[in-house]
Amino acid sequence: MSEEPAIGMRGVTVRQGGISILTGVTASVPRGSVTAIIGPNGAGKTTLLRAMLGLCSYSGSITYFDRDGRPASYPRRIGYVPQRLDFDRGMPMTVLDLLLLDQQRRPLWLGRSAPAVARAKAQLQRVEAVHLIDRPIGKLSGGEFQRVQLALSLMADPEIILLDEPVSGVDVQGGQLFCDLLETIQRESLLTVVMVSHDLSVVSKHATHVLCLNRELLAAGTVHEALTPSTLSQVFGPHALFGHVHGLCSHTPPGA
Amino acid sequence: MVDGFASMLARLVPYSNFHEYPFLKRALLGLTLLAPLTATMGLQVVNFRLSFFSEAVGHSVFTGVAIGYLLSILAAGSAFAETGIAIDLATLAFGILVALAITYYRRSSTLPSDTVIGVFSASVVSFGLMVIGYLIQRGTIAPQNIFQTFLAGNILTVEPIHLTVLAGFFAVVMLFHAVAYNRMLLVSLNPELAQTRGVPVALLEYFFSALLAVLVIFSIRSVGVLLVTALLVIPAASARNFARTAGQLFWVAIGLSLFACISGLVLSDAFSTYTGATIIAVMTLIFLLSEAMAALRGR
Repeated sequence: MSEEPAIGMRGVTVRQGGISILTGVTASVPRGSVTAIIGPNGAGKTTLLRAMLGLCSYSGSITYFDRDGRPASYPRRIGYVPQRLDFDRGMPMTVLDLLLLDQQRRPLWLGRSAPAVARAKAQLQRVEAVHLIDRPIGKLSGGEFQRVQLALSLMADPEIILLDEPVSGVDVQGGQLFCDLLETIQRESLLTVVMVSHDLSVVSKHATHVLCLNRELLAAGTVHEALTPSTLSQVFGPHALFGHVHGLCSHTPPGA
Repeated sequence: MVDGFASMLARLVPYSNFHEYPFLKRALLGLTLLAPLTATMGLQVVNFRLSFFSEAVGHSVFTGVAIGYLLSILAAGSAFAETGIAIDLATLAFGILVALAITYYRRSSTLPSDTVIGVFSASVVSFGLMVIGYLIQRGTIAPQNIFQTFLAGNILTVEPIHLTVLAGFFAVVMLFHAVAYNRMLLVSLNPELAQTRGVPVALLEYFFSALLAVLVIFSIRSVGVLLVTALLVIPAASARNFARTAGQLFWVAIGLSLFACISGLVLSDAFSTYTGATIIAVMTLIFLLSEAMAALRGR
């Protein structure tokens, strides 16, 4: 992993209905890093992610860089894994249908295209979900659904994946499996990963870098540089500090 | 040519009255075109929770008709006024306008979507009824015509020209489903994910709402304002219970809708009931069956 940025943000400010949600965020996401955006509820974590995806208007600039370090305009090869609960899972649709939605021109009512099915199977294999291929999406457990969403984001052959609270509300084992798979895929494909998380144990185990937010950027850097006891107490308040600091300080993140 | 098609179709349905009465044959052709349209557009209506929206567009027909009559009065004596084209065009244009306006407000207003639609729905009805009431007083229109044509609908009065236009619209909607079916599904699952995948979400929403408005206005002639939403929603909701894949969903909805429309037409002729109401009654039975099956299957 290098310190070349994959994403550079300069003075990113988001206002909605006259209220500032984020003010002047200047930071970068190193290429090949797993960067976690952390902060308390209402800190603007998801808003920053949405700004990076071009889903909300902001002032300032967000620039993506290609592998040669040249600015690349959006949209480029980006995978997005939205929050699990933001998905309508009530409609009759199998996992395979979901993965084919933006992979084949032919409407699904005229059948599936064989090359697209092969690509979908290959991505499901990577997230250990190929056995779920014909399962209705409404019948997947939280962890299974997140793995399917990861496969969906991989269908675009991304260089960068952005995830919003990927393991929130998922059972411990499912969350563990998801994070392990994400880490393997990230290393294999040299991906840059950005994830919003409020779970410090996930962050300490899997992230290499963090952006600590509370309506503005409070700290940024590698997990060890940025997550000092004073920052944690500033971000989460003194009560949150006690449970997490020990784990953070004794853990050596991969690549650190 | 339209009557030729209608006769061919009538031979496929084992019901002797179809061969005797041309108006029944035309109604059969009309419903055979309309059923797949309402079923497939209804799928998106259910996915996007737009049943209240289609109700509001249906209500706009009152204002559309009122504007149409006013235009006819202004152009009195011309062919435009005599043939009733003014009324058809005014209801169609006003329906599309209301649909686009609601879509714009839904996207930009901070008010809840059902509130926005509720305001539109009430305002178009009130304005339309004001003008229609005035025209009834003046003796320009007969109240029973309004009831028959718009509240209850009447597929039996469908004319060859309507069927030709409907066939053209059928082609447009099927082309839309061929190009946009997968993308519309992605948008209904998660619009923001769709947007990050380069799907033109806003464009699709506007285009879909205009298409839906045209369909609602066409359907009102068959089943009336009161039942038009049912025609869209019930086959789609039943299909969600029966189908297992996104591809099946499309065909099951069409099959159920065709079955209900044709058997509703036959039953209404046999028992002298309103065709629209009979079709919806058949659809409701199918829906109950689908719910029972879903419950047995454990959803």
